[in-house]
Formats: sequence, C-alpha cells, structure tokens
Amino acid sequence: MQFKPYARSLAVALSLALVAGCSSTGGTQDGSMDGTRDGSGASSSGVSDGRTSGSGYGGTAGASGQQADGRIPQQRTIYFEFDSDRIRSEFEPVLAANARYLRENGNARVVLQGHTDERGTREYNMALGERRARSVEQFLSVQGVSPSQVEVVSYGEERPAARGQNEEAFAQNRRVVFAY
Amino acid sequence: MQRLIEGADERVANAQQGQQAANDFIALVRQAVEQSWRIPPNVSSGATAEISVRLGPSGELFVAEISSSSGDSAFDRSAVQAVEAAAPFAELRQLPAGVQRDYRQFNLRFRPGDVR
Amino acid sequence: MKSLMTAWLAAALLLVSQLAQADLTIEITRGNESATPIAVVPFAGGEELPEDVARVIHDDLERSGYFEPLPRRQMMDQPASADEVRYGDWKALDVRYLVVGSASREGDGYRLRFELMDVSGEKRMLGEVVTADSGELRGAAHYISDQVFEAITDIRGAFSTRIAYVTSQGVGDDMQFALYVADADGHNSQQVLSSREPILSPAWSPDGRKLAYVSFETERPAIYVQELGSGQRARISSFQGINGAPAWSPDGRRLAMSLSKDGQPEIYVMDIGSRDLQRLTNDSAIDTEPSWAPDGRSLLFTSDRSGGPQLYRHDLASGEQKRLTFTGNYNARGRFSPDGEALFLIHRSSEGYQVARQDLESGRLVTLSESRWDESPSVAPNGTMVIFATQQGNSGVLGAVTADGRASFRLPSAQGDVREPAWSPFMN
Repeated sequence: MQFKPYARSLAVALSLALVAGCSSTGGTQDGSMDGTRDGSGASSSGVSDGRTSGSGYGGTAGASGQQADGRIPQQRTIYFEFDSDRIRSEFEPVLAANARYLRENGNARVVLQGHTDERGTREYNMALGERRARSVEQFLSVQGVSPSQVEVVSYGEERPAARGQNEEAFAQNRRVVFAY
Repeated sequence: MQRLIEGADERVANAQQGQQAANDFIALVRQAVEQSWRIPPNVSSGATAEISVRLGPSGELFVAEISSSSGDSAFDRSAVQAVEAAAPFAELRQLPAGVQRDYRQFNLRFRPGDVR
Repeated sequence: MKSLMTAWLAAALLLVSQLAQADLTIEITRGNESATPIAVVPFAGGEELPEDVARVIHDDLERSGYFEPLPRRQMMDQPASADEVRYGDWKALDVRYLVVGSASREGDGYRLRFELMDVSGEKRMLGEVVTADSGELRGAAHYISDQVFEAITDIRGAFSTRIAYVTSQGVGDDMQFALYVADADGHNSQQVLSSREPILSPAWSPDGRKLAYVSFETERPAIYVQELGSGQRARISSFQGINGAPAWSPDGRRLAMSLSKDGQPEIYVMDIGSRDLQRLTNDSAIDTEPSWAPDGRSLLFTSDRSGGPQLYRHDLASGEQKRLTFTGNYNARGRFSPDGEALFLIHRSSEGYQVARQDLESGRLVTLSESRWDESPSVAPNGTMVIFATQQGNSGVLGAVTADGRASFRLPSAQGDVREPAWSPFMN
C-alpha cells in the first residue's frame, strides 16, 4: 500500500515538530514534496508552527502542485514566521509551482495578498503584509514571471484566516495568498 | 540665684512638655489631613500647593486658602478640601494654654511623594 | 558668673519662644489616590422625562476617572435646590460636591436647572438654567457635566464630544465591516459606512464635521474624506500600493498619510484643496502612522529604519527627523497630548502590547493599561483620558484609561468586534 510509508513519515514528522517545538529554525528541510510536513521550522519566538491541516496545505501523496497544464495550482498560500518576510524553504515548491503556472499562462493574472497576525498596530501591519507580498513578488520575478501579471495588495491584520490570541491562530494568519 | 535656676528649670521643663504636646498636635493634623485628601488623577510630578490655615479657639476652621498654587486647579482644590474635611481640630484645646495661640495658624504643604 | 547664668537662661528662653512662634509648615506627602466623592441627586420632576438626566451626569463624571458618584440608595435626602441642602448630612457621607436640580417640559423641549455645591466648604459654586430642544435631552445633561467638571477641575469637560469606531464580524473572505460615530458615552450611534471590505484608520477633521478613513471597497486601499452632515465624500488618495493612516493638520487643510507608491511606505503630506503631495521620508524602511503636533510644526510617525518600529519626529521647517523612543524594541502609533508635552503610543514589552505614555521632556515611558493586546490609542481633546481598542475574551472591545493610568474602564461592547476608536475634537 502506497500510503503506509507516508503515514509513518507523517507521524515521525509530527512528533519531531512537537519535540522541536521551542527551538529556533534548524534548517533541516530536505525539500520534500509532502506538503503536510511542517518540519522543525519553529519561529524564533519559541513557538512550533504545529499545523497539520491549515488552509493551503493539502498535499496528497505524489502530486503536490506540479500540474504542468492550465490548471491553477492547488496550493496557493504560504506562511511566514513572526516578524519576518523571509520565504521559508519548505514553501519554495509552492512558489515554484505558481511561478510555472504564470509563466505558462501569459494571460493569467494574480494578486498576491499579504497578511499578518493581529499583534501590533494596524497600519504598521498593513506595511508588513505588503513586505511579505513583495517578497513573493520578488521570488516570482526571479523565476521569470512577467511583472505585468502580478499585483501586490496588503490586508494587514484585517482579514484573519483564524481568530484567537494564541500561536496557532497567529501562525495561520501570517500568510501570502495567490488570488487568481 | 538658686531660685532663679529653679524657676528656669521649671520653665524649661514646661517648654519641653509644651513641645511634646505641640509635636503630637502636628502629627494629628498631618494624619487627619492625609486621610481626608483625595488626590485627583493626572497630577504632574512635583506638583506642590501651600494652604494657609487659621483655626478658631476650639480648633474650628476659620480659613483655609491657597497661599501658593500648584498650577493645577483640581489639585489646589483637593488640598483645600482635605483641610475642610479634616477639621475641626478639637485637640487644639489639649495644648498648654500658653501655646494654643501659636498653633492656630500654620501652613500645609501638599506634595505627593513619588506619584507615578 | 551670675551674668553668665542669666545670659544662658535668657538665651534658652528666647530659643524656646522662637520655636513656638516660627512660621510652622506641615508637610503632607500622602493621600488617597482615589476619585473625589460627589453626589448627583435625581432632578426634581425628572421622572417625567424620557431620559434620566441625573443618571447621565452621574455616569459622565464617573467615567472621567475624577469622581466617585454616590449610589442613589445611599442618599437620605433629595434636595432640589441649594437652599434645601443640609450640608451636615452630606458631610457625614464624606461627599465633597453635590449636584442638585429640577427638570420640566417646556413646549416641545425641556427646561433644566442645576446647582453645584462645595460640601466641605459649605458654599454654592455654580447654578444655571439650561433649555433643550426635543431629542437633545442627553446633550443638555452632557452640557451640565461639562460645567460641573470645569468648575471643579478648571479643565474643559469633554462630555459633549463624539467618537468614531469600526466594527467587524466574520473571518477570512466572509466578513462585514462598518464605520460608526456615537456620543462619547457610546449612545446615539450612527452608521457612516458599511462594507464587505476592510475599513480602518478613521480620523476626525479639526472642525469635527468630517472623517477621513481608509476603505478597501474597490478591493484596493484608498483614503476617503466624508462629510458627516451630508454624507458626501471624496476619494482623496488611491495610488498604487498602500494608501493609509490619514492624519489631519491642525488647520484642517492638509492630510498626512502613508503611501507605498514609490516602493515602500513613506510619509507624505497632501494639500486637500490642490491634491499637491509633499514627500517627507525617503528610505528603504517602513514609514507610517503620521500624526501632527498641536502647533502644526512637526509630525510624529512610526519608522522601522532602526530595525524595529520606533517613533520619530519630523520638523516641517528644517526637515530634520529625530528619533523619540528608546525604551524596548517596539513603539508605534504615537499621538500627541493636546498640550504637546506627552506622547501616547503602543509599546511592546514582555507584558504584551500596551498603551503607554512618554513624557517628551524627560523621555520617561510608563505603561497605562493592564491588558495585553492594545491598539489605536486616541486622546480626549482635554487630555485627561485615552480611549483604545483591546481584547476581552475573544472579542475586540474599547477601553479607556486616565492619562496617568490610574483609573481604567471598559466600554460596553456592541456585537462583533469593535476597534479603531477616534475621539473627536471639542464640538463647538
């Protein structure tokens, strides 16, 4: 059965994530295509981004966004660490897939929606959300996507995906969404 | 001369007793006023108001007025009210007769210590 | 020998008598940091009226943090005028001030009479007759609160002012937003705008007649100015990127704002009449959240040019920019006190994000609130109080705190989240 090895690696990954909870980023990504693994990418504020079924994740075994045809990529959200606009390496495949789609579909347009968690002041968060979206825009440009296909809009903390004053909710809100 | 010295001792002894009673009276006034003082919010640090007080022969309040303003009307008013609410100071009558008159007029300097 | 003894005695006696006659000053260094007790007696004839005027005044004075109004059930006596007052009764309750009055209908409107008494001094301080049109009874009560407050503190009352705020419901892509204005006590709320897209940063014009705000109704952020009386509005700024944080100059002719059209968010000042733009910052950092000094000569703004958000001051004449905050690594959304001597801001520490006050001269910063998730501080036009947004349970609510942090309140919350409060100027 094809699922067993994945299930086992998922269980291992989950327990690793729980154990590694409070350590800072260890950079142990191996570029796996399994979108459900969030590895040990804990933020430096000491929180595990322990999320296994947040929106945007949904990697099924095998094809996780590698459509080479005209279909919009399945994974269209990437997440960020606290106070950071750095593209995390575990999301590079998601970005690469969206970049490929845009390159191969010259008429397609995307709005990169930048978001933050709710901590801090609103207008400053508006600017932080824009920084994240611009960071993705930059990545796409390096991947050969034409600037005319991409627009950046920040929503700051105004459109949270999840509510609550806890790290799980905060982590789900620090995101950039590809809105086609 | 012996009588002179004895007389002097007695006067000094009386003066000492008088001073003790006066200290007690001052402490009482301070305590009563502090208990009655409602300090308003938003007082700037270092605010100081001086109130000039005159008492009647039984310690009743004749006059309590601002002799030096803090610049903050609410603060000044709260100081005057503290004296008004603490009066009368009936303990004035417990001072030695010769000394009472001296304690019917005094100043109060209101300056809250270490307001945040 | 004899003369020496005499001299010694004389000196001793002189010393003792001098001690007794010296100008005695007693130091008072402690008191009760608590509000002044006041009693607002129900107005005679007030039961006939649609609003409990004395209750409105009672609540206003309590909410200011300066007064502790006596509960009605403790009032043994309900005088309606100064000559009916028995001071001894109120002194026994340690009440320092007394408000009494009467109320009646007059034509379509109302006639109120009130008097303010100094209980400890046993004297009448103030009395006035107030008339109100139909529908303005609460406004008349707020006017009386203003008079009472000013007579006692010498500070102009802010009970006749208004607040603007934003509400939101829902999450993600399915949300509803609205912008409201209301009386400073939360009553009489009126909706100004309703939208499925975010609304933020409401800002009152200095004449209290207009609101500037950011709306995403075109799916992009733009700054609008709306006239509250007519509902008419103009879209003032809709450049590419961020159009945010509008702030009115004290003369009402310019709006400072944050625009990212030139690469990253910078501070600009726009002349509202001509729409001319003047750029104030030029760096690779985030510059946002501008606000004007009361004298209109400088602007406060948030910048992360030093690595994290801090407050800076831009002098309009010289163009010089100076950093103001050095405590901790997050200081943002600064606002001047009306006397220009202090800043109110959001400060982050291990305690969370809190409203704080920084004295401009000393640079000393003190946190004012005890909550952890504060935002959007807005100062009352008389400088005594700061209203802000915070969390209670899972909802956004408004809080208020005295400018020295001593007394704080939560405002009763409407449905959904309430945030982004903006305190109006004095309404003339």
